[in-house]
Amino acid sequence: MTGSPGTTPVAPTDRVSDVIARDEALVDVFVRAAPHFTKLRNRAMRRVMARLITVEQAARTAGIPAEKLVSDLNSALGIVERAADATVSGAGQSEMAKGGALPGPGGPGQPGGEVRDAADVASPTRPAGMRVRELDVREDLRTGNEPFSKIMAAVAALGEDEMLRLRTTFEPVPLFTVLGKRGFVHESEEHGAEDWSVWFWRPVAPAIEGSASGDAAAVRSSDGAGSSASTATTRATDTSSADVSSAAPRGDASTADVSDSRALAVDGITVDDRTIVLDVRGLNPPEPLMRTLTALETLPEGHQLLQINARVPQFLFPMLAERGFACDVDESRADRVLVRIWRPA
Amino acid sequence: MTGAAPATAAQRGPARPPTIPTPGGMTPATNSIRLAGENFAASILYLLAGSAGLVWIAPELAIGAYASPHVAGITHLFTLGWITTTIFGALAQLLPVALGAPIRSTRVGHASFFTFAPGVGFFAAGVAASSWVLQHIGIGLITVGIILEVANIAASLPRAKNRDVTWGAVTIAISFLASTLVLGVILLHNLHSGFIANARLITLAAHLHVALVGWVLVMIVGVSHRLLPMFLLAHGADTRWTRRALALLATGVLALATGLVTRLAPAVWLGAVLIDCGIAAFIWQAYSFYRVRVRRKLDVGMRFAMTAVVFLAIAAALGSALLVLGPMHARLATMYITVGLLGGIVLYVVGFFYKIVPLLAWTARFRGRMGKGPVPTVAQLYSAKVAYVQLGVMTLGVVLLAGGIGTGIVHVTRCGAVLFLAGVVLFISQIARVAFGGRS
Repeated sequence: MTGSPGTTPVAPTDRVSDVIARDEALVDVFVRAAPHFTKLRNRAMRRVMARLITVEQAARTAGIPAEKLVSDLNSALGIVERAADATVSGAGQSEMAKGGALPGPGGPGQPGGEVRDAADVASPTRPAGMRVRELDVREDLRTGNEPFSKIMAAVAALGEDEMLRLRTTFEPVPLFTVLGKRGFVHESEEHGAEDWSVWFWRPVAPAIEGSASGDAAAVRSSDGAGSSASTATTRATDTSSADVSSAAPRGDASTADVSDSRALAVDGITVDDRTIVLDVRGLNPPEPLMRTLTALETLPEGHQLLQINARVPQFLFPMLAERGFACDVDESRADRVLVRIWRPA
Repeated sequence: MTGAAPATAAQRGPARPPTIPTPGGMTPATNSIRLAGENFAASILYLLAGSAGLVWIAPELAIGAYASPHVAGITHLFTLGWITTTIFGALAQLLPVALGAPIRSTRVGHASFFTFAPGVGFFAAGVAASSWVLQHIGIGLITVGIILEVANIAASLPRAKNRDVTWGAVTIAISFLASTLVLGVILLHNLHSGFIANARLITLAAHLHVALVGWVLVMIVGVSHRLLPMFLLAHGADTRWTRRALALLATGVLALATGLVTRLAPAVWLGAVLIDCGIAAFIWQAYSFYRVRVRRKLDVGMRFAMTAVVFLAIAAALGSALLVLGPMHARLATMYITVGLLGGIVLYVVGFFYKIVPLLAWTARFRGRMGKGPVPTVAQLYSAKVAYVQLGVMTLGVVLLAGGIGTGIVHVTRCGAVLFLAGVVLFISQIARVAFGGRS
């Protein structure tokens, strides 16, 4: 095991792939922490999954404390942690920590990868009467193909009265963050080892609540119009330029942590409950463009998107015009540009 | 753009409408992509021709014959064909993105391209083959092309909303481009008339430095000020070093050129010191950006740029040594130019090519599908592994070229040239894949 006290400590928001890239022997630390991580020894599995999930999220899926996992990893690297570095956002942990497993053992998946209609078992929490579209990505996951694009395409194709049933080999916690910000709620169920179903649907009367955790991106019914600034905010802190099609703000528990109004106030922006804020300052081109257009595809009627950028997105403007959006630009501050985008009446 | 914003929206600060696309679907951005594309395509062909020419002139490089017609011809394939054509193409995209001002006229841009690009071929062939006709056809076309481009850029700059350090760099650089052209015409006329007699070599030195430092390096410094933070996600770095670098390089090259032409040694020394300080300031600025980058893992484009910066530092040291030891050390002079041009500038431009061209190709190809379904990533348009091999091969090529020239061994020099050419072939295969292949 390599590493020196001078090395940057592993943080809860680090992606598992980045952590393992520092020292492959850290796989052993994961496996020791929870047997569910055994499949991290499989390179194909690691290639697909490890870069989609943060240490904190991985700990959550394995049902172990994130602080301990981070601490173990840093110890293995020979890093003495400072208390502040080990802080883990606890928001939303309890509601999601229900025994999910990063690649866990299980039976074979059905041939899949394509969206199809499916009959579904009723659930007290899922809305009745919605058409269920099923996407099975288990085989993709086992063969090392990243299914994110398929999932996002399936989500994009969902009608208002449709829900997506996703079959996976593990509980896709990072996906909850991504789709939560698009107004989807979810419910997950473990059928057996390496066999999960997760349903995503849009609530009938969405009032997208800003929440302290993107994982808790559950859309809650508005309990009083205008009672609070309810804003869904995406702060995309992922910096990968190599994975544009994986436009998810993966690995960023931080993603969700700025969705509260306090963070927005710090940035000097006032928004209302019909504004979706997309912060793309931490992204490499062309991800800001991708994410903005993706967000606009699901922009609810009467809402507007407020993009926070580090520069004026010149390439975006003609594409907005082609797609029938209007926008204006605020460059009043040197450290950021605000682009407000809406669908003209 | 039009349309009423939702009435409930609120935000602080004044707003302004963005660039409005032209009717018919041809936006300034898409039109400038075409302009950039044709420049990039031509520049790649010239890079290939220049690299093949390196193999041919390796024996002359090994003996330090930097002023031979063959070497001069091949050098122009790199300086005009690869570097300048690439800059012309990049400016079509950079001006709107970095300065908020689209290029004044894309028609003039195309006219410039269709005169300048063929002109480079004629001129380089004419110089290498000592053909009076080709030289004059070439210089005529180049002159028209440069005048059109300089006028076009000069007309665009006043419309720029952001008159920052990048704006200043572009302004300074195009002034030096015009000066380079004047010195080049003087040198060409001297080839036939001999009117500057013994001043030929010092005029050549002035021409070379005004071109490489005043035009190319100043442009690189200014553009990097915008693009390095963008590509590295390096926000919050101390950016004052760009301004210092530009001031030092611009005054330095002026002092050096004036000193050379007037044979005023103190001015030459002062110019050399200022240029070295300018390069040091640029390197420090680049280091500052790399140091504060958010994403720790560097992609291949940024590794090319980093490697080039190292070669630039080596070239600066070789230039200082040349000044101390004297211009009679022809092999040292040749090594200095080779490392600076091929290692410092060509590799830097290749690195930015890897960042800009796939991004433009991706944007052009997938603009209609973005956000509506899966699209490949920019990185999937080319092979990172091949790019890394290319970086290794080209770096080794420059090292062997410099080593071969330094030791006077032809075989080592030629070996370096062959490796450099191999790297360029890999590069072209990558760009072809970006342009025509990849997942769709």
